[in-house]
Amino acid sequence: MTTATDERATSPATTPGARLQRWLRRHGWTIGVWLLLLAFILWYATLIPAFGEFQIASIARNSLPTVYLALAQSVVVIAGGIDLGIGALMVLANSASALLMEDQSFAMTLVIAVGVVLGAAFLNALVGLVIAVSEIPDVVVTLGMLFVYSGLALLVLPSPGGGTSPGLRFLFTGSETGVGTNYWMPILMLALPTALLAWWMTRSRRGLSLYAIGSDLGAAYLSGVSIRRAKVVSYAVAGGFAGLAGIALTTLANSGDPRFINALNALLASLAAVVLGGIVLGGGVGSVVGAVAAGIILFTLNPILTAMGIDPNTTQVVRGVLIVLVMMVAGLLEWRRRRAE
Amino acid sequence: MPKQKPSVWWLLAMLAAIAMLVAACAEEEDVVDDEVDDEPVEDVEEEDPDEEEPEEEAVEDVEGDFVIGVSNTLVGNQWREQMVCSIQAESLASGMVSDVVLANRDTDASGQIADIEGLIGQGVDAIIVNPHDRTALDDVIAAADEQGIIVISVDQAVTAEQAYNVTNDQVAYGELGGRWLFEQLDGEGNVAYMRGGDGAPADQDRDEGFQAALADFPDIEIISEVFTGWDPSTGASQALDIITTEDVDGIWTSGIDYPVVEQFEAAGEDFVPVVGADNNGFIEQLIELADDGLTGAVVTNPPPVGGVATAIAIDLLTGREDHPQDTILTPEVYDNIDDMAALEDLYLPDLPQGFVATMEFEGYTTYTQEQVLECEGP
Amino acid sequence: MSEAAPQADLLRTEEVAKRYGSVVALRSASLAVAPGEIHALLGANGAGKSTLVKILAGVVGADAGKVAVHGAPVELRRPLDALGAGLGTVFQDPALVPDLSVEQNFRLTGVPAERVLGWLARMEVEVPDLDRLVKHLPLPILRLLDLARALAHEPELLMLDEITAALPGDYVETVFGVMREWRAEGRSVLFITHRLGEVLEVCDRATVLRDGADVATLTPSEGDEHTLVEAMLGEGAPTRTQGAREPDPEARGPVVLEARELAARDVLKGCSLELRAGEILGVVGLEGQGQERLFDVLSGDRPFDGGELRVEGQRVKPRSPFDMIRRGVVLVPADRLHALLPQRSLRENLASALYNRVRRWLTPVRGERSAVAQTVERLEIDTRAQRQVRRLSGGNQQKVAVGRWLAAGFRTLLCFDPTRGIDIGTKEQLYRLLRELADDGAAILYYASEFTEAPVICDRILVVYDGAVIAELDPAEADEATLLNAAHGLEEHAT
Repeated sequence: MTTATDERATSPATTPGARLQRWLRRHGWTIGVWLLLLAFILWYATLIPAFGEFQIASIARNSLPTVYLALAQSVVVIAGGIDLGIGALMVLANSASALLMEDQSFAMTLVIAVGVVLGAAFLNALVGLVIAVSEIPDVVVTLGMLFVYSGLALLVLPSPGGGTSPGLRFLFTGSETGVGTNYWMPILMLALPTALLAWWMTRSRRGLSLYAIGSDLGAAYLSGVSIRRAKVVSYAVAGGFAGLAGIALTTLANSGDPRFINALNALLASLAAVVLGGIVLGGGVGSVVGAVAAGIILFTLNPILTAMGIDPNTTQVVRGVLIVLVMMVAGLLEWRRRRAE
Repeated sequence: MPKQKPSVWWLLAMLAAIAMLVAACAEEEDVVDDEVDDEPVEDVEEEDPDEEEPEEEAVEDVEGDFVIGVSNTLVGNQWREQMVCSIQAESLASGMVSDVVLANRDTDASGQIADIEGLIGQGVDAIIVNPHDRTALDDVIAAADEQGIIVISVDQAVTAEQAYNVTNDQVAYGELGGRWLFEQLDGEGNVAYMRGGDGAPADQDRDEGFQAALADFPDIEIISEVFTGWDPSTGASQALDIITTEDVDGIWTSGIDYPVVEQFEAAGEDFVPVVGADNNGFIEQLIELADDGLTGAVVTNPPPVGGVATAIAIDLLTGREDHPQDTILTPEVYDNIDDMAALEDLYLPDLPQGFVATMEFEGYTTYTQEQVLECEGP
Repeated sequence: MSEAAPQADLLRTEEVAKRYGSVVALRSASLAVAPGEIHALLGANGAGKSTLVKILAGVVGADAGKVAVHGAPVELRRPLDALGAGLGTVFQDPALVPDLSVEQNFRLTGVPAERVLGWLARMEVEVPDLDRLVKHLPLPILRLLDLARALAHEPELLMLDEITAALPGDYVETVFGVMREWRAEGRSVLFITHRLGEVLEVCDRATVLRDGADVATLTPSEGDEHTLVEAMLGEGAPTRTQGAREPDPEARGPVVLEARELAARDVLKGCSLELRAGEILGVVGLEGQGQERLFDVLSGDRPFDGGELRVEGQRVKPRSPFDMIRRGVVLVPADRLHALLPQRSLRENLASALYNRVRRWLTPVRGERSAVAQTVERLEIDTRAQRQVRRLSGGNQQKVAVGRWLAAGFRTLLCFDPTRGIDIGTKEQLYRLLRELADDGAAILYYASEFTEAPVICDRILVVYDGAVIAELDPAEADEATLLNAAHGLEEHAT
């Protein structure tokens, strides 16, 4: 009884200071990852002779595919799943869009882009449906899809090629040629989908249902959430973002590339971004906003390590060490918090 | 909950610490690299870019302070490694280069564009790029050109008009080897056609040459056409299939050669003529198995294109000499019937099978073989 | 009010049945709740109360039977169906998503936050910060949030499954206030509790379930607690009291495990016990009185935050089960497969505990085979299915779970409901085995959910109620009625 009374006394701490502290604590990881990104960019700036608009634009636009894919993976992981097919779906979207968009007008490419995003969402929704209905584990079904999507990509576009319109390239990269110093456009393309997704995930009933099924299936069910529908929705949204990632890739390179290795690299990057971004594998915890910063960090490591003149084989080591270190810090913090309680 | 600890600040501090650790870790590994590789003490001193550079400049040449960037999208491949090493060696041997910045990782076209953007940001004077794609780099190369950076594409040509191309003539590679093989078979027989990477520009060029040669020999039949992906183990298993299931009279390979010969030995079959590249292992087989009935021809595909490109970049940067937009290096053909001496000359007994035996390119490169093997830049 | 005519029943269930696999949870339950009454649903552990509530809440589907609201039959396939029919439920387990904030949880269920907050205000509960994550809130607050959320749906019938179990006394009064208010508005409450005092205090009528069927509907105000207990036990329930053996203090060894005022957040509220070598110490309690947590804490699986724990006189604060195993204290859980390696052989399972003694890795455990053979013999395990433990019968599996510790020479066993779902014959063998072990000097703490078990095999019986040990009984005097009275916190009849 005494314990209960004590807890009651501490719970309604609603002074602005306490609220701020709680907010910081709750979003500590997300804030930390963004600060880490800031530190990395500042560090990069000191490593090269001139840092300016060109570099900001370069980082922003080249991060786009990784970030979109990180968002896609985040949605599935938050809902308690994992999508191993997501990288291959991106490659499929990249191949299909590059094939269809070659020599088309801006308006036409825009229509194709919307079609590809919706198509990818639909395909992945079917995957979610199979998982929800059959209750085969996510890993198994999506591992299969990794190969199915990759095969489809090679069927659509047997070898690298295709193209897109300058207008669409401007839309994603801020430049009709894909290279330039306009950083507003790619930053907008980073921020807008992120903000929309983050808002939807934490404010809408359907978005919250994804957190709910990832956090506690029983409680979610008792709260009136349709578990199957939420699962399908999570895969559909992820598919849409994978489609967006594929189109971003098309606009960056002005071509499509169907090879399997791209799918694998993209998948691993998305998983790394999710983990680094503070989203707990297993579901329910984390923010898509953190995964965005993590995605950009993973990209930024490349020019940083190049600028430092580090052996390319070491690059992989550093990336892995970074992920493990961050996870260890998180584990340590969690342990401290538990002990404090 | 006794007291609220400001764990947020703790987290931030830890993240900052990680950043530093990564930096330290990276630097440390750099140092380790040096320690492993160094033999003479002077070498290490030379490599320290901060302190020793001015001295070196003073001794050598005031002009020589160029930075060369390299973009390569395939790591762990012997030919590419040697190409990069020839760039390092030529940069060192020329004495005109202060630093070589490597953007060297497995990636795709968009990744290569990002890497080149990074190199532009580094303020390099020239970029040597082994292109992942013929057309995808056009715009980023144009952007580099606007900054006054010389871009040289090696191994494969790019469509960007600002770029210089230094390539081995892959069409000729396909044609010369094919022609040698068909003549060996007296224009009649079953040939296995073991290509390289599906969709790769070099493979497409070689195919063009191979088909041109084939057109002149109507009685040659291609009984098997496979893609090895330039992977030795893939090529080996494909070769074993062909040898044991097909009645094959000759094999043309796109550089996966010594594993093919090994399969003949493994299967206990009689040798048929094989066309391969200037891989050390293949040359060794041609020399040692000649008495056992192996005939074959080496078509050179020298990785020193990197060194050649470096030499051209320095010429262009210093204005010493002008070069045409395209430098096409024609391959040589050496067989173990008439050119045994040339093969023995190429053969490097101390080096591994996959090593490409052609290490220099007369008229362009100025380094020594040892410098390539050390693979140390300035 | 209780005189209401049957056709005016708010809720009526007829012969509802449910089985899970081979286990019958509910045989035939009929229940009628009139408008404007507080109706208690009573029954011993496993009588089927929670199953019936889950069926009425649309969480599980009934295999047979009818449910009607205001005389009209309803199909309850999903939780939403139940809400639509005017049935609102507060479940035994919190139905709030732990990783979401309070506000997000409201949003998830589509309940306007103002209405929930309005109810909290009416209950005079201090409103927690809505931005806080549910998992960081104390359990009593969560229960009240669940209640307020259910109230916000304005259900005709409010079903409360053991809501008071996790509430401190003043909040219990708050909940009673809400229930009375609900009744005053002409709506009804179905109230499940193990605390009979509460039934007498607030309920108009009570339906008693026994073995999955309804046995009586009573008016509590006309009797006392013992009338209720009698109904729960059934007329002339056999009172088996074959005292295990003569209490012989001399035979008891030293105290091996001692708990002093153990406390763990909201669940354990000061639990003390002494376990001696050579005895079987029984623990009885109604569901959810903290006994599970007590065993978890004693086995090192979960931490405690108050009091102290001593093993052989030494104070310990275990961080993991390994810390306790190292000190010779091991758990035999109810879920046998949880503790065993189901796909490995009998021998490997018996030997697995031996590995705790291995000093050097990679050296085979000496005498593994003979230790295992001896154990098999002693346990009378039917070895026909020994290739894979999962193929053994439940009883034999439990014997393996006990035997593996035995093979490794552990002397202090914490048995948590080890006979759950085991046939009578194997039960007897297990009792005999435990008795032999105790006679050999082992110390055994034994919890059984069935009240008939403890008097049969235990030397002493402790009664757990509301997170504390409230009484110690002599098995010779502990018939089922005495135990049930004691377990319901009716102290005058304990001892």
